[in-house]
Amino acid sequence: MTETLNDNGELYGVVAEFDDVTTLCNAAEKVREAGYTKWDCHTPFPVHGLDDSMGIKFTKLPWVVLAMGLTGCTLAVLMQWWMNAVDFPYDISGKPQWSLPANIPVIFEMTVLFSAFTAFFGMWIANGLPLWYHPLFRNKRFSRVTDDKFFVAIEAADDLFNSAQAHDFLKSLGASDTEDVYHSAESAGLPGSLKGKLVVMACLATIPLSMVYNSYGKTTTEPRVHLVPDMDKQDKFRAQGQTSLFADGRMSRAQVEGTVAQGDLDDHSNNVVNAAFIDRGEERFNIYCSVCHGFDGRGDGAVHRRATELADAGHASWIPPSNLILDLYAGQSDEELYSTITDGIRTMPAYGGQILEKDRWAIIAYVRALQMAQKGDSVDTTGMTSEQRGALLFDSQTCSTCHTVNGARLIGPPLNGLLGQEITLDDDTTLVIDEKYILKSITNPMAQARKGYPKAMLEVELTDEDLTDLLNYIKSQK
Amino acid sequence: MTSNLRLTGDYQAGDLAPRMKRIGLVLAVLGLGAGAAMGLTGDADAKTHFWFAYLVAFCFVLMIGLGAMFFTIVGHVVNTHWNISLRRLAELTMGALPVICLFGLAMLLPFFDHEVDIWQWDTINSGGTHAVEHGSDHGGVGAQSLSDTLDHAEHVHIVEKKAAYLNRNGFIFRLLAYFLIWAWIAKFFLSKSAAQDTAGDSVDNVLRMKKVAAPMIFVFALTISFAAFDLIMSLDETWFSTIFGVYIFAGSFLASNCWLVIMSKWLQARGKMTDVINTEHYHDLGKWMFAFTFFWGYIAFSQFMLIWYANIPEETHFYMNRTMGMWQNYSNLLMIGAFFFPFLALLSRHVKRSTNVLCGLAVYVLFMRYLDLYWLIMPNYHRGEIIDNPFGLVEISLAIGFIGLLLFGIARNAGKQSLLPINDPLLAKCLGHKNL
Repeated sequence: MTETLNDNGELYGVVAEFDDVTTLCNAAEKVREAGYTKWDCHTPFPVHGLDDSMGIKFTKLPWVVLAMGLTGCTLAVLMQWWMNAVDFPYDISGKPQWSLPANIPVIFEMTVLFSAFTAFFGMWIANGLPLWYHPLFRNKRFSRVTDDKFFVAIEAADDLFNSAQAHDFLKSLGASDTEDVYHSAESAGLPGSLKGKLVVMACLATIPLSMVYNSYGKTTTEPRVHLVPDMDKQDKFRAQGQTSLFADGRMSRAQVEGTVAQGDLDDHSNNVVNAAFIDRGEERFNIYCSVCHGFDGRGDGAVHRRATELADAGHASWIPPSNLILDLYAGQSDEELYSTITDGIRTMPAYGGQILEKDRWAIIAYVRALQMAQKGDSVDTTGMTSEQRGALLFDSQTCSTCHTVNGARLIGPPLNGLLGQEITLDDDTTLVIDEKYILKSITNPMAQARKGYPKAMLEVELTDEDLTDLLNYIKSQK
Repeated sequence: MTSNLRLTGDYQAGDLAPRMKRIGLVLAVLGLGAGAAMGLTGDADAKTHFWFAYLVAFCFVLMIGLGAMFFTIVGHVVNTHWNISLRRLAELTMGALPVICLFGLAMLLPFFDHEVDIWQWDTINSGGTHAVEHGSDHGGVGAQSLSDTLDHAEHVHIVEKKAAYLNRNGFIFRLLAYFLIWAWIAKFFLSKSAAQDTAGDSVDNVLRMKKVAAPMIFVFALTISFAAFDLIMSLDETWFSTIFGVYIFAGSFLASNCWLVIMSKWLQARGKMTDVINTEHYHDLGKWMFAFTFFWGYIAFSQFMLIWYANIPEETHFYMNRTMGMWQNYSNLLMIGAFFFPFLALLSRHVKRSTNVLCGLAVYVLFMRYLDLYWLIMPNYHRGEIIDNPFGLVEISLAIGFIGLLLFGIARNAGKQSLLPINDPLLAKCLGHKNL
């Protein structure tokens, strides 16, 4: 007889040991035919055909996996549609907010994720896992189940169970040994000492969480903790950094005299403005510029239209892109436009890093073509009031780029209700706005600049008549 | 080993071999003959159509043969046992490659017929005058077609840049190289495998096959990829997709698994191989069909999404051409018929184990394989133009002709040895194979 543990509790059942697969499969068939329902076979390796002998039905898990896979698929569609098209629509170069091909990878991943988790954890549930303890492990003989022996265990919980009968029955099926197996006398629950440790660990686990909660949304003057110092502080030269290596202490170096940087040799003087050059400019303009400035250069691109929509609905502020057809820009030199493309201006970012030098000149050539082509499109102002003509000037002379007449602040101050308003100037003197001040601010904007606004206003050349119209328009805005 | 096995079934092709050889030959002669009679006697346009259809039919059976080659080689490399009873059928299928490739060489003929414009890169390389003429007639290369965003000069420029690879002599050389390599691989594995049948207790042949199989994986991958570039991708001479070889590979392995299901069913209906190919083997073939239906769809979508997202004119025209006018129907049919339907149909274990249903699906999926190739190749006929559906009797008779060639190629070798690798050391394990 094999030794068994002494602290036996309730009877779990009878376990029978078999020496080979064939006897086991035959025994399994007989046990099933005898009508037992709560019993199981244990083998060191998967035995083909044992499922059939035991009469185990094919698992329903695939159907559950299918259902959950479809759930994941549907959720992924709804999630992306809700996020991108409904809850937070975000315009990127006028692209559609809901477009199936872009969403298929996530749909695929979510389907796989849900299916895999369902298959994995569903298998656990179907097998009654996780299981911390099983009475069969208390049987010494049973340890050979991972080695070279095969076992059938009939549980006492089975309705047909009778210990003596079970022993005889299993022996008659060719078992080399049968034994009673008992539950442990102790409770199957967690040991008290382990419970204490778990409570301590749970308390400790709240510390990082409470630290995160404590600092959430707060600012601090303490320097940040460098978890990976050599990633945060690298030995490299940054554009605006200081170094003791060079006499002037600057990290960024000027180009060595007498050298040309790669690609710089091909300067603007080599460019010939011909049809091919302008075509190239058109192509680049349509790719890089038209999203804001519009295909015709009038500043009515897809981004502008959408942003205006959002701004009107109060979701964002928006500074409109310039209308490149205006005389203001037609009058700018090629070099000024080149500088704007290269380094950006106001909210327009620098494109020097994205557009090749030659292409920037090509774009300018195309912009010139646009300006020439649309020059004749002037508005007939006969029969208009002075205020109406002023309104046209306000938009066409780019006043509206920086000023509003609805009280909202863009770059410059809003221009409604100006007369009689008391303002503070840059030199901290105060002044009550009158017509003279308005006119002066248009013709020589920086002479008496207002405090708190950037000194960025361009001088605009206007005829006296235009000035009067513009003044009348501004005065009319209450 | 085999001494323990009691093999009592019928594993000899017997009189099926000469009969199928005759039937195959008749189908080939009738199909190719009728196709040629309809296509080659017409005007330049009809001839162009004929050669495109010929290429589709050729590539269709070529892919079945190449898939069978992969089936054989990869089995050796991973030392699998479940496919042993099917392996001779795969070896016979790839044994048809020399016959198929011989007729594939006919695709070189359009080089020498100045009326036909299949290999447009060649037309442009050799002066391009014809390309311009053709373009003005049919909106091909020269004309600004609806979806072609390149002008003629750019078009020619790209083809000139590619000329180091895509030139007539290089093309002919490569095509011959692929065909010879494939013919050699097919012959090697079939003859070694057949030699093992009578080798008694020696396993030298099996070990030799396993040794050769590993490097042949690389040879196979390179040849099928470059053949795909040369035979199919080069039809649209400015277009390129690095995943294209994988796309064709996915389709060919799928096709060969379908073919093996059909071949097994057909043989078993005639009392052959009844006890050595059972539900378990069909189940495994079904799993491959399922897996590669999805893999093909995965690759097809990957290719589409990258091109769609990047939105670069030199790439997008491939999909523009296939979503214009009538071709949109083909695209939709392909997406639903070649991916969604077989994917859902093959998802279930019960379907894969119901051998008759599986065989029906195999026929269907093979038909979809033809459709896939048609979708890849035929839109280059009148590229970028809205045309009526060109599918007709020429396509059908050429497909029948090439299937006849495939049958003839298989039957040619079928009688020379058993249909089962009767002395393979893994055969016993194969016959006891069970899916959990």
